[in-house]
Amino acid sequence: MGLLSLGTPMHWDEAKQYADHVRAHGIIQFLNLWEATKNSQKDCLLWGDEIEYMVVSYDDENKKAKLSLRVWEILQELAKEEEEAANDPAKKLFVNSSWHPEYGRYMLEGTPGEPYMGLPRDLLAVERNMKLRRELACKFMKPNEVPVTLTSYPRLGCAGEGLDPHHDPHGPAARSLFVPDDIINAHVRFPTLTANIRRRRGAKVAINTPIFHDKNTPKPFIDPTIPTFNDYPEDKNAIEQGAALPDHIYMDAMAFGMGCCCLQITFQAVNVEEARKIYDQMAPLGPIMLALTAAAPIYRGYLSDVDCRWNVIAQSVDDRTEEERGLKPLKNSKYRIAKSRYDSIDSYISNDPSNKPEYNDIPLVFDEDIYKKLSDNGIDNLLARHISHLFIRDPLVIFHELLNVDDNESTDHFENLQSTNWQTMRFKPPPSKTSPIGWRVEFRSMEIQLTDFENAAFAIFIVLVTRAVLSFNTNFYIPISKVDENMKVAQNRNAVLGEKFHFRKQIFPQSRPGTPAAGTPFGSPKLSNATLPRTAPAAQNNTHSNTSGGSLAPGLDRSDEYELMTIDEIINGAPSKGFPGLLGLVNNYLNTLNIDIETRCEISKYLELIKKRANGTLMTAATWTRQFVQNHPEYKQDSVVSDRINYDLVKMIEKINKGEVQVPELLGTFSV
Amino acid sequence: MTALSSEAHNGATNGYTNGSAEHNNNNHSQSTTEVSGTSAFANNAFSHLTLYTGNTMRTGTTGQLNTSLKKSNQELVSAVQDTLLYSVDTARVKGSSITITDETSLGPLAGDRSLYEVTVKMFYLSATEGTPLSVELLTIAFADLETAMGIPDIKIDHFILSLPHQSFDENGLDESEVEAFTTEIKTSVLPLWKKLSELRQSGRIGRLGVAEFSKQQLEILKTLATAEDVNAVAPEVNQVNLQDCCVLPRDLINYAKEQGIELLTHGDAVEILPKNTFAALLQPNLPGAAASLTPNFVLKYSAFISSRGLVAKKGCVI
Repeated sequence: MGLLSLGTPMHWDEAKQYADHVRAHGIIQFLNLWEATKNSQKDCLLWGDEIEYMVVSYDDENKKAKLSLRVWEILQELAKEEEEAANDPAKKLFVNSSWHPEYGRYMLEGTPGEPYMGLPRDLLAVERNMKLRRELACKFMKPNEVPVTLTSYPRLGCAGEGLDPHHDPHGPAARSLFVPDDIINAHVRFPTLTANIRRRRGAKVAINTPIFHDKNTPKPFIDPTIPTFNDYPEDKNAIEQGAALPDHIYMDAMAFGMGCCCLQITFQAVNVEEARKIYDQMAPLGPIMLALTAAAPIYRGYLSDVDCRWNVIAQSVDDRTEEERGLKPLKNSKYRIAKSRYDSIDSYISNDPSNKPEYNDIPLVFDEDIYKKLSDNGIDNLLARHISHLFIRDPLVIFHELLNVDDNESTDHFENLQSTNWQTMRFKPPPSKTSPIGWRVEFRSMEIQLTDFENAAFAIFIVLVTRAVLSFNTNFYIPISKVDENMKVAQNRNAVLGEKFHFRKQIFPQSRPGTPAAGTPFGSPKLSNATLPRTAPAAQNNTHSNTSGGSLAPGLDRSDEYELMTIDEIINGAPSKGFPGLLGLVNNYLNTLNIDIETRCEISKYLELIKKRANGTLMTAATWTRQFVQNHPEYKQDSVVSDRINYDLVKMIEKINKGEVQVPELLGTFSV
Repeated sequence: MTALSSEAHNGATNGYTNGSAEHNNNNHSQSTTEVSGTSAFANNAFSHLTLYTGNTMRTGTTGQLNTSLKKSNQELVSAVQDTLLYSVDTARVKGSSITITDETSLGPLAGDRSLYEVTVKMFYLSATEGTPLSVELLTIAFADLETAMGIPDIKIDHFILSLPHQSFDENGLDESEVEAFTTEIKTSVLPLWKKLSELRQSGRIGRLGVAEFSKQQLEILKTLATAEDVNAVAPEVNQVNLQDCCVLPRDLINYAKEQGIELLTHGDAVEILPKNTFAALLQPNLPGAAASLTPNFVLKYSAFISSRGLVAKKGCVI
């Protein structure tokens, strides 16, 4: 996560005075970078995955699974290996990976040593590399430690000794009732980030996740495990000031969100136009993949009514003031802001003609001065809006030593804001003017799966979807407000089977009416987008909306272009409607290539997993986890996940990964 | 039996006619001006027809195929249908030949030729038993490809020859079947294979292959091809249907490994364009032609940008 510059960070009181400085220089840095790289062409598809692990430490005697805070030591060993491998090609074969710290002191992030390439046979390297990483991580762990790829740790923040080594909660940085500051990565950036979010907001973050009401769960559910302290003003947040909502699981620290793990995929585009196009095309898939990879049903020892981590993280870094959140009239804060700085994207950014103005239907809050500066310097409307929207946020961590840099060489200030806007997609310029790395897009919504086989399958699926999108020149555009609606619904319990999602019906923009590809199998010519009746003159460019109410020119009514579909339909298609589904697209793409049988068979395996998760033949990790808890002999049907249940769950996950146990309801007959 | 032929895009006639060509004395225009309205052609019994489908990657034809069908000609049929629906109006007529070119297939490949991997599969359709497959058709096919892809003197990276009625049979051939197949190769296929080998040896074809061959059949072809007096190449690629690909007999897999033969997957039907399908396709717009013509070959081509994993263009020529 983000940057690990060294130095002394500013307290919020000081940092806020330099917010404009960082923003202004960030924009200059972006413009300098843009000038140098706007025409860059990269001929190769290169891509990579990021896997996040939690390190668990077992106390087998007492049947407890704790989070190990020893990751810093493990990372140092891994860094040594990485360094040796850089100089020794033979070693590189075994080590081919790169390791980074993450927010949680118990978290590890691993990436492939080198990016993968884009041919089908290159995709076969993914699972191998992921397994290699897991093995390597294990090498430096104690015998009672194990890395697990769990999206949310079930008993994070529960009373009792859940951390190894133990620390009591309620440190000065997070001031959390449940977790100690020692759970945060020791590098000074992270506790500063935590504290400055709290200071800027004027209160601790308040995360409320609906509880799952089981047979014996009290109604209303008022959490009896919220402790009271009297050391800080924030101690009043939870109960006295009502931050903890009834019928919800209340959490009060960044750790509950950023301490979750996820699966992120980054790919390099051939140029900036292609990057913008992929960004837009993949954005509507964010909620779909979130529902499909759902793996986080338990928080702070309780079964929740959601299956995904997204809203938890959104709330965990929400630094908006009360005025920004619309609870008080604007006086000291500049804008009313609808979302946390961690949430789904707010606008499409491609200049592709299929991106009609009507799709950007969320009133966008952006910094007018920054917009003007960008625009005056040759940045087109959509990109200028995108960046000036990211820049409404304040920089949270500023190092004294890095305040003044050469804007011609450094992109530090730009990255400061770029990397603390956490969204479903990220549009990434080249890291520097001279870097061999080009324009990239990051796909960020997926939850991490329990096994490397599944993680590989989802990574491969996403990459193949991008290839299919570009090869078929598909159009997935729907109004961005509908993508947001999908995000909300995607996190519901069992959304993969129980919910419907807005999705575009006609995804081939160049298909002609009356043809099977137009979605009308051999029949009546159906109107494609081009022939929608015009109700009002549509704005040619997006007019920029002001912060006070959206003033987008009324355009065409696009509601006929999309409809509600199930995940099954979206992934596996609806043959009667001529809708191929994402898997249909991927398979049609693959069938066009020269692929040898072995490669084709291997890839088909991964695609089978996606298919079966989408049609309900196999459960999501979230559903499986719920079932495990509910079937556990110690479970009292009261939504409580005890230490013992947690321990058995983690042990089971370890066994599944080692292939010692078969779980057909989750993994069918696939071997992991 | 009338034949399908093609004329180069620049309007030059190659003067090709077939044996018993049937001509109707209709008042079709002698020049290559564009005519609008399908009714102009409806009653013409053309002696030659060439059709270039659109770029099926862009028209959505390939994207929306039903992938549960493993042996299908869905793609070809949809593509041809698409083109007939939209591009008959702009067909070029010269004498008794009609060339229909889909509006979306215009334009050469962007960028440097070296970026692309061009694959062509040629389905020979009409064959009389005991007669050699026409080498002439191969020349026409190459000309058609150059038109379709906008590349003169085209080099084809992968060329797959698909024989009529050839279907993978995992049960071995018995003695009489071996003999029959050997004869078939000798008389029907070898002359054509020789020509293809020349192209392979001169570099106009990168890798030369077949489709739906069993191990024995590959061996027979190899033996006959590499015989001293023939001096042709052994097959380097064998296409295997998706349905069979996960249950291929071990001996084929091993033989392929030994011989350096790539086993690639495909999803085409054995009969890619049966005569009655062809007639049914033409019927709505060109009933006259539907009655008088029989398909000679189908070319399926694609251009793939391997460094980025993108398919730039895919289409058919019939």
